[in-house]
Amino acid sequence: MKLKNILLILVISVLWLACEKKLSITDFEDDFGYYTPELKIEGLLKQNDPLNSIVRIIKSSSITDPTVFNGQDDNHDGEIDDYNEVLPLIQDTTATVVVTNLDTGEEFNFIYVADADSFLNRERLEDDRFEFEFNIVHYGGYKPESSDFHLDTLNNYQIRVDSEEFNQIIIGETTIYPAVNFIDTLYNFEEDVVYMNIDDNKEIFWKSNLNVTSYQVVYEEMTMDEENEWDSEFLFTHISYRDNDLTDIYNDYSVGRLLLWNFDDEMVLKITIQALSPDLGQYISSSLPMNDPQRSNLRDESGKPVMGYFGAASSKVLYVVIQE
Amino acid sequence: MKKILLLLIIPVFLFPKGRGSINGYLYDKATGEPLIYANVMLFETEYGTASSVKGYYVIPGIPEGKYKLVISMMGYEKIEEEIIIETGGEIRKDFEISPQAVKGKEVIVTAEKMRFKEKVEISRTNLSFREIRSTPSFIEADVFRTLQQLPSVTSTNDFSSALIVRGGSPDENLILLDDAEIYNPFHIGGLFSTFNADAISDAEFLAGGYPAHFSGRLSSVLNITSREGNSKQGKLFSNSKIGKFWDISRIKAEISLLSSKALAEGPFYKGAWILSGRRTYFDKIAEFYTTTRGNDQDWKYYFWDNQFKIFSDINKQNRITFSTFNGQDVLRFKFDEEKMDKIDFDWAWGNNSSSLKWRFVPNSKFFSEFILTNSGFDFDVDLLMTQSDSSGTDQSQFKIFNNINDISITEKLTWYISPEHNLTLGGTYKKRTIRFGLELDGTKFFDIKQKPNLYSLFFQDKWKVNNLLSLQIGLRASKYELHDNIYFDPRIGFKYMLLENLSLKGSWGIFNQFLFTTNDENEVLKIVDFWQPVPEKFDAISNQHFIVGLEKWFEQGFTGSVEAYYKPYSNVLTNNPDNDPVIENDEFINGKARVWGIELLLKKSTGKFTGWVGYSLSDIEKRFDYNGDGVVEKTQNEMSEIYVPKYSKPHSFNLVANYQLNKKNQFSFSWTVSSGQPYTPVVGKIYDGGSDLDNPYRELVNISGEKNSSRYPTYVRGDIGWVRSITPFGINGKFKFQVMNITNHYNVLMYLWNHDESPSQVRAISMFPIIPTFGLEFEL
Repeated sequence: MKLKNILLILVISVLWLACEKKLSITDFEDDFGYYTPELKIEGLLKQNDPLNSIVRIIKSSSITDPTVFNGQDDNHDGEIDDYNEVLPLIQDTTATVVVTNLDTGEEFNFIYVADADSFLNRERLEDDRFEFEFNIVHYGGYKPESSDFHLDTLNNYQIRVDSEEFNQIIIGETTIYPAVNFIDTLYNFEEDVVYMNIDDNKEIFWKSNLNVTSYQVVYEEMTMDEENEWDSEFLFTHISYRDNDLTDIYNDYSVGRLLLWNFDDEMVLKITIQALSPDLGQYISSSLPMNDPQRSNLRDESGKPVMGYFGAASSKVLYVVIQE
Repeated sequence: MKKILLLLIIPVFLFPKGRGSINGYLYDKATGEPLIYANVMLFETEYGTASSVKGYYVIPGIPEGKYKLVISMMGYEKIEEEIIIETGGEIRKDFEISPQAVKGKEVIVTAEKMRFKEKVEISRTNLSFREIRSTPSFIEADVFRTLQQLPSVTSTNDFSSALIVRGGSPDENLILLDDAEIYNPFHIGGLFSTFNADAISDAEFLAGGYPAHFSGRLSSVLNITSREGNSKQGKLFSNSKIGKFWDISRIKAEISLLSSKALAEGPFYKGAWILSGRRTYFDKIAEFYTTTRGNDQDWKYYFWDNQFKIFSDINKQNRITFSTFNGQDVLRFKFDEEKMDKIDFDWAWGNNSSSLKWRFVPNSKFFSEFILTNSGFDFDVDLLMTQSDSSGTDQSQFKIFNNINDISITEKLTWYISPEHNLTLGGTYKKRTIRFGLELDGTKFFDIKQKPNLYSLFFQDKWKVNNLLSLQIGLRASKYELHDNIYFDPRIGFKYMLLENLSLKGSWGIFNQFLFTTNDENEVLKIVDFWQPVPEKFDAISNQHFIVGLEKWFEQGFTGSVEAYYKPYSNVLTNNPDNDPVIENDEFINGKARVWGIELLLKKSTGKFTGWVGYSLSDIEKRFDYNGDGVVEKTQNEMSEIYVPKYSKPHSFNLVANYQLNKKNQFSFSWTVSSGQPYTPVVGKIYDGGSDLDNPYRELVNISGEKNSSRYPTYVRGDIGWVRSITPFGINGKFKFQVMNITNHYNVLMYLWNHDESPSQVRAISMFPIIPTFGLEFEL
């Protein structure tokens, strides 16, 4: 190696080492010494799929907690500290969860289920920074114990969580709102299918209860497999908000709109609009801390806010066929 | 109130009869440039003044008689001339004074003493071209870096030359270049200021209590006057008729590790011109390096700026000056790999300003300036993503822009009524257009165009009550077009000579600001500013300055001051963390703040050894009702509603020293020790899905302790510089060598947490390590 290259590497190394330094966690004891783990509860009631309503109760960890990521393959699945290993460690499975319809007085128990729900996890491949690996991660949560569990629209519900581990009772309230109705404007609607031309100004409109102001939009692409069966592939999701100008025109409804751009022709999209209860919408859109009294609607016995939300979502699906 | 105003104004018109006056300009005989702060006195009388930054002097109200006019300034020949003042007479005397080496221990009363006696303004510092050039800085001399060494100024970090003045945020500083407002005076996200130090004549810095003719900002004024250019010594056409109209007297070039600079100047018809330019070249070096290895250079970053000024003295009474400044940063990169979409990213931002000034001095009583300025700031991001596959090519384009266009008309008239009264009055009309927009694939998501025009009138009387007491009383009335009311900004300052060389100064004033930046206060590195007008629903951002201080003249060129200040703020605007996208106009919330502090400054400005020592003690607190519950309280999280802002540095010590060893060698040294910046501690971690309802465990996020309740370790930095005059091949030049952070002190910029390990891991990222830089300067 030439001398100038050695010097160059030396200079760069000195600068780099001078700029970044690993520190001891003990240097920060004054910062975090007082902190004790706390609960975060996410209670989501699904209006049109009530039996899949779920309450997730997880625990925060202190900075010095040695247990969550221990660098070992505890479940012998070939992965170290992956979701399957970590999530069971942070879930509170000791709680008693009861959801009550405040209008009718009906009470429903939710019980812990180890495989309550799942999500699609995307991980970057180590050997190719532009390729991702997708895998489904299952996780535990509290689900309705009885198949009789049902949700009545415009009724108020309360959640009560008794955590044995934290010796804490947490309560929150929410309201169930109906799903949106799509507004048939320029396009050719056939029940839940709409046909659009690639050159159209591709917009979708819907209306919902006036109290609903935020919506989660989920995009999936529908493809037909070799056996001529339709299959859906998740694309992306985002939050959408009420259009105030259109709402002013309709007056009695919140009106939402969605602009579809940059989709190919001959594509079939599955678009799910989830109308979010105001408490859930507020929780998602706010940048306040997760336990701020204006963001979270959960309180413990002393009235102290608890991280998380108790909310409801109502889904409606629309298939969009984009034609040339 | 009306009675008080009458009492203030009536004495203005009671000036004595049977007196005369003298006025004129002082110029450097070698270059024709104005002589700033020269001492002008009538020998053995109390009548005297100091020349202004324009080289102008006026001594009004002199009793009739015969006098000896004495003009003196360190480094220039002393002028003595007999004058006769007649009743009602006005003498106009312009002088061209030759530079002269200071001999031995010759004592010349410099203008600093005169300024010490005359200036009522508190918290004022003037930095000369020499001081800016001799203070150690990062690679190149920089006026902002020099100002950061003053006790009233701190910086956010090494990567930013933004000014934090007495606890005010950087958007509270009014930056003027030849009277034009500059909105984002930085390159590379604040690493360098946009002003080329070679083209600066004087930088007047007012850290508070500034007079009524300055407005629109809450914390400070930096009034930069560019050089006028060398109107003498034309070298190309000095012997021909052309030389009377245009010539070149000097060309100077400078090469540093960062950029190449060039400056040219020369005579113009009854005036002079000066042109300077600078461009960075690390993009060219990188491109050369990459292409010689057979690869394509897929990124480009550079900045450039230029300044041009030209003036002509049409006659003794009238001067027309045109000045323009342009600067831009350009960042481009292309990303094109087989497995990836093609990305073309084009980001350009910069300032441009022009000013046209008509100076009219009809007699010794009046000095008028009519100024027309056009200043702009543009920020444009253009992102083009191209996706190609077997079915064809698909493109997606994203554009975001923020533009400010400011056209201002100002008339400022100074009326030298008598030795006791000096009245300045005028008005400004500011026509501002601010655009902020986002466009995706040709569809405009928003394109907000606002025209928050501003009209204002001001007056200010400098009243010498007696030999011991001087007052400065002013009032500014502003009408902001988005609001119905008229804002009144009274300003009062006093100076009382406790002893011959010791004065007590004080100031109180109300200040209003109608624009602000929406950048996150906690961002570590800020690339550009996002300017917004104060919305209709909020009153102007406002504060008051209460300042009191002592100023001491120790000896020739050696002064000291101690000042205490208190600044309560109201209607401070910040981003609303609980912004509901459905509710209109709730993007911002307003709150309160207060700052207090004490500053000490000892400054030596003459002799071989010059520099200053400064110390400041300060305390800042901000209050916002972030969650809108009507209660403002401290909380144990990152949104504590009572907190210390990120740029708080309670203790700050600065030492700046320059030593002229001999004619060839000059050494400089600066040392800064200050409190570490506050940061919000991380106390825990938890999984969160953000707004993604489908993946509640998307990432591990911090659980924070009380906002900005911890501090980084003490900041320490020492810089040294050495300038040696050289003459290779007979060309005058300078070799410059500097070492930044000579002790390689580890100054923490931020902490980064990795929660994917138990216990969590923390790394520190530092500011500048030890960095040596060098440069060359040549003059033709």
